[in-house]
Amino acid sequence: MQLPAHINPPAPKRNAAPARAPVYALVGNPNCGKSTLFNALTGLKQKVGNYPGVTVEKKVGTAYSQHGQPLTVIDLPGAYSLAARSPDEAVTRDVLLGRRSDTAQPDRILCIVDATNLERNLYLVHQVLDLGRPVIVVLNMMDLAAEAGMAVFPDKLAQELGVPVIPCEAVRGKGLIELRLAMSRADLPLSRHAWDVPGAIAPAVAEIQASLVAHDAKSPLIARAESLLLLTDQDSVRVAGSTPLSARTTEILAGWQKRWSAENMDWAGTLVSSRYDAIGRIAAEVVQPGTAGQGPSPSDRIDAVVTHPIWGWITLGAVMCLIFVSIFTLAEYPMNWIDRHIAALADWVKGSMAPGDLRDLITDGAISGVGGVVIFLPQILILFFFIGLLESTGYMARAAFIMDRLMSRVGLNGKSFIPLLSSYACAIPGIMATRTIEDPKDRLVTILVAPLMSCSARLPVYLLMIAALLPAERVPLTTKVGIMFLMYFLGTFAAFGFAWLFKRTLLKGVPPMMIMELPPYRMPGVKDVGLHMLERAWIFLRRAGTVILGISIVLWFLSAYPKAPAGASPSEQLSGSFAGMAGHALEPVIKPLGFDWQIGIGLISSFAAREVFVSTMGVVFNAEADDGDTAPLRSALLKARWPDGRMLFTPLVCFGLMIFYVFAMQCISTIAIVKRETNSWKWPLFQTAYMTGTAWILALLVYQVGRGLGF
Amino acid sequence: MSATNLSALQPGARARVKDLPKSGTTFIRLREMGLLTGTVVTFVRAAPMGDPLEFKLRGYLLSVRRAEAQQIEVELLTDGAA
Amino acid sequence: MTAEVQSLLALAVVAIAALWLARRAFAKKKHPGCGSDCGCGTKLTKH
Repeated sequence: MQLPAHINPPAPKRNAAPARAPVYALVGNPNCGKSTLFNALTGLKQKVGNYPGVTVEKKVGTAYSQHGQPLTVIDLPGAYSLAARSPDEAVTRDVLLGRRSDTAQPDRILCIVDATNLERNLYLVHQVLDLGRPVIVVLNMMDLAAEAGMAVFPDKLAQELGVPVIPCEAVRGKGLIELRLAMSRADLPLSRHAWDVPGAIAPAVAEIQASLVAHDAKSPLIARAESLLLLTDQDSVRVAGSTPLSARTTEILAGWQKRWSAENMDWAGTLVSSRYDAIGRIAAEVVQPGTAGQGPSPSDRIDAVVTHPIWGWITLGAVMCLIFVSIFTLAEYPMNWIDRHIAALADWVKGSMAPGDLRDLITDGAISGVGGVVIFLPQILILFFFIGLLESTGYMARAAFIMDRLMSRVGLNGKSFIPLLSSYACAIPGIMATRTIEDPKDRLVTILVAPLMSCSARLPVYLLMIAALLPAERVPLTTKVGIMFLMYFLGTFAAFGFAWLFKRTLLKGVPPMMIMELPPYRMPGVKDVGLHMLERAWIFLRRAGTVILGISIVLWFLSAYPKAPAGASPSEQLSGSFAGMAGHALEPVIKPLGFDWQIGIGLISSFAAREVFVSTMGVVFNAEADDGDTAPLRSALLKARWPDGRMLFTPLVCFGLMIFYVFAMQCISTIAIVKRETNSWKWPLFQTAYMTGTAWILALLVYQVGRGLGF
Repeated sequence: MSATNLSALQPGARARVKDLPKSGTTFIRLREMGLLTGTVVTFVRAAPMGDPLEFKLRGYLLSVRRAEAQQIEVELLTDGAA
Repeated sequence: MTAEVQSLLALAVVAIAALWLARRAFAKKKHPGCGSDCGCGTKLTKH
């Protein structure tokens, strides 16, 4: 049979490769060990990208067959059902159905299933089998099933479904050889599993199927799967990049739904239960429920504490404290080490080159700019380590469970907690994490307030300001942590406050649903957390080595040119430079906040990325430092003066600047991602305006009230 | 065997689902997660602030808000009955 | 290296950096991804 071109895409034009290796899609419920399996299969051969138009992460990796042949594996977002309820699930659905023009429909499907929770996991498998593609079922967590006293028989499942079933313990790498062998097979059987569509619905399925073949150019098998799906997919989630249905098919579908509604028939419910009936019969054959494990499991015992009315809050608070304290104490040693080496490098360059512009560019531009950012790598790694750890152990879901009531007070749900928590690392993964939120208004509100959570790019600014604010080395750590905590608290409080305001005014809606699985606690996969950290470290370093290096070089130029006449002091040089002109132009707006034009240069450059502020200050103030030695930035800041000799970085100004950074929207990357996510310039512009406006007003209040009080 | 709704159970109580609303994406999703007419559900606990509620069904834990649980009719099972 | 040669070289480096940044900003529009920022990684090869 000749399939339409979009279903069987032409093989890429590579001269050497004889036949295209099959493309596998990896699908499964959330929390079934899917990413662990993906990591185990592909190791470091992964590429993380994005599906165009949506902020859903696209992960593609290369696995090797037993014969060393490369196999492409697409890791699709976790889904409970192909009847998508969130953009995440919509991407999985669209890729599997061949609805996305940017991703070829996978040739084969790897379904990963949690053996301890077979029935619910088989629901997705059951839908996937309808697609008529070769399927391999990976029965993961066999060890945990055995621990729970359950007996699971993979052979019987293979027999029932008619597809290969590979028992596996992805965390320990068990079963991977068998899986690779199965994946290398040239031929894979199609499922023999027969399933009767309930009689009352069958005519509708047939009619929609026929229309999909005729009007939407689908192959008959895919059309059948899709028609079954359309019937449970009420007000379906559409995401950018997905091909819409033809008008005719939509019409037929609406006609049937209208007729059934009039007859008071529960068509969706009937379809779901007939699937579960079929699954129930399979599960009865495959699983012998545990007789032993009737008492509370270790997970239940942990939950009794972690979700306890009092201990639950204490645990949550302790976890957050642990994260923040670790960022300060553990990171200090590697940071000092990096600092020393950067200073040594700059001194070495100064010693070995004749004075001149190129030398200044290397030391004051490149080294101090990139160095000022690279130094924060240890802290960012620690933050991502904890976030990865909380996610892989299952605690994140408990945090959402505990926080849901509080979040619902401001009109959000517990699921917004995870994106907001991730935004402490960076607003971009935070905004990407909103893809699991079903309600569009909830998603939008979460996106709008997520950048108020203090991201790690603000950390360098806070740290620098705290260092300038409390210059004495003997200031106790608790004071520094306390001020940092205050900044994080302010951002968090503002995020909740604005969410409340937006839900009440701009984006009114019904209280959204909150259906969430609480996965059993698991030992974190060291490899998964490690890979996650490595990925972030690499992205961060590449960013420092490319964008930030480029910006630092350009910034050096803007502060070094046009050249002042010979004999001018460094500050006269800077004042007359391009950067100085921009800073002077901004000064009238920020002078009421206690900021001068030099800080203005920092604020402007922060729009590239907030941490650039630190490198800008490095460029701006090191230009005034003595030629012989690279002065630490902190002491350079403390030497800075207004023209009338007043100190520039007074404690009050440092504090106001921190407040400004808590609230201001100064990140082009975030603006770009919000634009793409909301599909218009309206929301990113609104967001930039409300955040930066709040920042200005609050920084003004801090400075003017503080001065009034005599600080 | 007393009829009640899912939000009115005591911690540890087991109940069988009798009926849940036909329409609404929430209830279709609950069905897809395995909460169907006839499914046996155990109420585990409420969250620290009283909402959402945590249930055990088909061997896993599911959290549902009180507002939705109220619309799900169940019959209480006495201990030992399946 | 004299100061004049250094100035010339420095200006060349600045020009390269500025051109590269401009090109990067421009190329981003053609591939609306989030580039190489915090959350997302390299561009994907299409299949």
